[in-house]
Amino acid sequence: MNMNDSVFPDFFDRGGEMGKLIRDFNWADSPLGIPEKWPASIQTSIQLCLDSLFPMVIYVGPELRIIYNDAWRPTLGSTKHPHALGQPAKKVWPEIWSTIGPMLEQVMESGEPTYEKDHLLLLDRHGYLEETYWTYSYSPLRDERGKVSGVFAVVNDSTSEVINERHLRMLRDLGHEITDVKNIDEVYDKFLNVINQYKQDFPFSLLYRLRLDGTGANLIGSTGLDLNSRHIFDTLEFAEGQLGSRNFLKCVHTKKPVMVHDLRNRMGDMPTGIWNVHPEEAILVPITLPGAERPKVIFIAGVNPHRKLTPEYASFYELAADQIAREIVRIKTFDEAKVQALKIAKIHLVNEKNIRQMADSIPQMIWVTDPDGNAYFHNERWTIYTGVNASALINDGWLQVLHAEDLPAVKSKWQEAFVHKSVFETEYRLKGSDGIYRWFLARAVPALKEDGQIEKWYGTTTDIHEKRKLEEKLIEREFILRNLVDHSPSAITILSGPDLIIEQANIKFYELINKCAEEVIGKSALEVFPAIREKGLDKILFKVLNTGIPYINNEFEVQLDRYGKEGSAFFSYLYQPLHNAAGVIDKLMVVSTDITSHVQLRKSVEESGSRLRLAIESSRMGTWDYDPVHDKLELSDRAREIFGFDTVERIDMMTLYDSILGRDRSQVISSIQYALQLDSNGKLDLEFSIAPKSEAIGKVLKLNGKTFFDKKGNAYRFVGTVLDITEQKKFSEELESRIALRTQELKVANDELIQINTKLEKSNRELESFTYIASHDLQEPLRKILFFSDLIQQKSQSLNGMENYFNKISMSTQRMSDLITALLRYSTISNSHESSVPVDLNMVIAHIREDYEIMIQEKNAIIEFDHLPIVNGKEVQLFQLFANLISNGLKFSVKNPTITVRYRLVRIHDLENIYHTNHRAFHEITVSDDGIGFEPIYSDQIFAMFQRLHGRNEYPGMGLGLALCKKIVDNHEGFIRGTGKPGEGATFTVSLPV
Amino acid sequence: MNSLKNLTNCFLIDDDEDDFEIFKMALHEIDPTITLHYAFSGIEAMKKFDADHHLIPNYIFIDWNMPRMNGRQCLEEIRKTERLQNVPVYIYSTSSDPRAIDEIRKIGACDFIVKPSNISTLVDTLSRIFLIRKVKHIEKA
Repeated sequence: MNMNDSVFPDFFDRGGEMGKLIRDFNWADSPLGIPEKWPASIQTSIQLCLDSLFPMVIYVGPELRIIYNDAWRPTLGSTKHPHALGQPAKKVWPEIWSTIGPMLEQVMESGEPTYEKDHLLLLDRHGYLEETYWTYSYSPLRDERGKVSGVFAVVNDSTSEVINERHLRMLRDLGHEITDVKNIDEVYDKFLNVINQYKQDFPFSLLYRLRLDGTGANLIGSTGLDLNSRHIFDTLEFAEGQLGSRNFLKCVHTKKPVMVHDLRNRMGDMPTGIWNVHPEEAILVPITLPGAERPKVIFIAGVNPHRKLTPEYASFYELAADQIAREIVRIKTFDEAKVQALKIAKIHLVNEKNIRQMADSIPQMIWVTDPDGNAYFHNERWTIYTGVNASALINDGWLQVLHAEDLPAVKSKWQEAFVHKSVFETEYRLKGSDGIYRWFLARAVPALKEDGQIEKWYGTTTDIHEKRKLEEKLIEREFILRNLVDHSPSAITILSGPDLIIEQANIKFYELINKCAEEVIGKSALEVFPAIREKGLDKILFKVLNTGIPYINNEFEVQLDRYGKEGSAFFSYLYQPLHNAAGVIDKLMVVSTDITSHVQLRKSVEESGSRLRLAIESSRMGTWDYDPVHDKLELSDRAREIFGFDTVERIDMMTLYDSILGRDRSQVISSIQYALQLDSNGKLDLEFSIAPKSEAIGKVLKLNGKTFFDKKGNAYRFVGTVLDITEQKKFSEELESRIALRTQELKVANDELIQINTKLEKSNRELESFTYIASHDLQEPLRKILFFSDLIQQKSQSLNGMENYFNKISMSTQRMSDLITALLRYSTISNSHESSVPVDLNMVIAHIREDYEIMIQEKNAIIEFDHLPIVNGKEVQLFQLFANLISNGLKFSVKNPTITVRYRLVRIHDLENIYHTNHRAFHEITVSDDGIGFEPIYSDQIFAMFQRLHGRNEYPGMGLGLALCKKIVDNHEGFIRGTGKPGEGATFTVSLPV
Repeated sequence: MNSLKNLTNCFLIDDDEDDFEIFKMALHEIDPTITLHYAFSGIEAMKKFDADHHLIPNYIFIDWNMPRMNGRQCLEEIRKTERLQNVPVYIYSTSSDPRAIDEIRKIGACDFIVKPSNISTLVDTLSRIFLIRKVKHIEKA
């Protein structure tokens, strides 16, 4: 198709019949307008829809006008296609609008997608409302402004799966419920119970037993009907021509099912079951016993108003009714055989002489043999049936009428009964006088003598030909059932016993596992499928077997070798326990349904959603779509604009690569090629520069993409967006360069600071070691001055009044020595590397009291102290600290001083002064005295070296005590503060970190 | 007691000549018969010990602060010489750092004598040292 001739986007050139219909549609006259103007998301999804083999439909615009693909067409049935195209959904689906309408509108309003599984919809697509089931998803389609402008739907018809599964389940329930029931009435009861649980197919039902005299029928039971309703007749009298009796009589006389198609005309409104509509049709099924001339029971069922009563559907009703016949025959046959054998034995006991006479009167073949099995008596019935005289039948004579094929079985059964003296029972064919063989059931009971030896065998032979024929019919029915199972879309297998032996399976199962019956039947499932154990499914199977609780897994991923191909498949599993006659669970039915297409469908929905999101995230974004299989690249108009291509230019990957600046090109190419490989995560996120030929300045682009891989792991689609981020990039680059500049400046300043700091530290260290060395070496000459002046004083007989001068030399030198000692101590503390240990301050104060005992006594001082904490610190230094503070208190006292040491724990923000510290809590110890105090303006000065506030003659001291205290507290990362008032005392507060 | 007195001979290692004079004065005051050997450095002291194998002083005093080989190194050298291993060694210094006392005990010195600022203090200190030793000697004998 030539694009220049049409207003249609190029993707409309595909899509089979619907593609053509969409092209030919007169969109210009439709409220939707021409497709070219439709939002990009709608265009993309129509493209997706037309290219897809999954049923898909798109609801466009506020009226939700529908556009669909070929795969979706059957959904419209025979009455709605093709005029549904472009019509509002409400007009196309008035019958289900109340259900899907609100859902669609919800998607339009909220933009939230929906997912429905096996959803019942009563669709009118063949002129009646049909029971249909659908698995579908609605996802929103947004336009460039982000507004929801349509709904994208992927749908799958699961009607036949749902209904088939239901029918199978019902037949299974029937088989399970009525087998091994002891009497016939119970069979009817249980049958009706099961029927009543399947109201979809049996809105109502009736069971009538025909009277033996043929005058009418009596009601056995019913389902779905009000017993007082006029539709229920307890009895039907054939003579009176009751309402509805014509079909009933037809059924009785033909012994064939009768379908009633005009039920409402004949009977009026019948019960609806679970539906809202009255059944239009009914079916009458005769239940006839083998050989009987007339049916025994008639089963009447109302037919599902939402299904057509096709022959296939009718056979389902017959199949249900057959279950009754089979059970009645089973119960009857065994009861009869039992009763008759007992009867004969009784007769023998009562009067042996009358045997012959009585035996002849019995409408059954009777025979008697000697202990070895030689027949010596046959009653009249034998002759009547075989046409052979009784005398010719004695001993082995009767074998002439026995079918040759049955002789070996008869012989072995006889041998067995003879050895065990037990009941002989076998089925064989006897030739009638007409030359035709019929089936008989032969039974013989041994009559024992008092010594336990066999005296005689009494035998009966009963015609079971009709029963055998019914059985054959049933086998045929079973075959149909079997067919139904075999053609079930699900794989079904029966596993038996704790070893999980595969007992039976359907065709689908063999297809699925790609093996034939011989390879798996009779083997353990665990052995055939090692994956069961590997995936831990064995535990689940055993649990079902043990608890009887069925297990359902709705979605299970398996790797499967199917049709010779390895691949991922999805299954739903049902493990159904099966009960044996004794009610014990001994088997499991495993139903596996291949839901791969469902899952793929869902994934396709997810995939389409993610594609669309990408496409419409921003109107500033361009979109691109690359088909790696055919090497086809499509760019949206915006993408072309970004790359600098004009709107008609043909672009392939090479053109695209060429536009990328050299330094980025190889990086882009390798990233894209990597994203197309399965081992990548399929995601692309790139930034690169291009030099568009139409523009002078280069651009920076951001490219995002996502690859979609098929089952084989090959990329089949690569879609994404492209955004021009030149401005953004410029801005952030500028920002970055400014930050870099600032960082550089800061770094330079910081480096300088570090250098200064290092220098400072070095000079500090030098100063301290200088102080140490200086003070140490200064001691030497001083000591000698002292020593020798002392020596002169001692040695000289007369100093001629010079003693006083020597004294002064001595005192000055001593003072200099003390100063140097103090300086030495100060410098030692700064140099100290003594490690921190827990120090009990109570012990420290106690030691100080001992050391200053004499001074305390002299001054008549009192030292009070709180209980003090244990702090982490350098013991010698802490001792020095408190010794200095306390001795200061003693020293600067007036008389009878009291020194108080108080303690409290404070948090950083409770400290009175603001300090820079990393510690959050402090031990705060205050040492207060009531001495001379000091002027508050000196509270900082007092901590300086050699700072004295008083003359040496008033108070002795070096002026280093508090400087030392400050140094010690600094060493402990704490704080010290002094407050005082002249004449009122001083308080020193030491804060040490906790 | 007299006989024991004669046995007393001391060895002082100190780079300070004044201190040697002071030390000599103090010893003379205690007992003029006490012999004092003298070295100005650790190296000189070791030379003297090597030269005279019969030289086993009763006491060795080492100045803590000496150039080149300091008091500690000197003490270590002395302890290497077998015949000097049991000689009591005292460190003689201006420093009275309490940590230094611990340290010198560890390396095998007996005690720490602070260089005094008058002669009587030194006389008292030395007398006490000699007395303790003598008492111990008598007890042993």
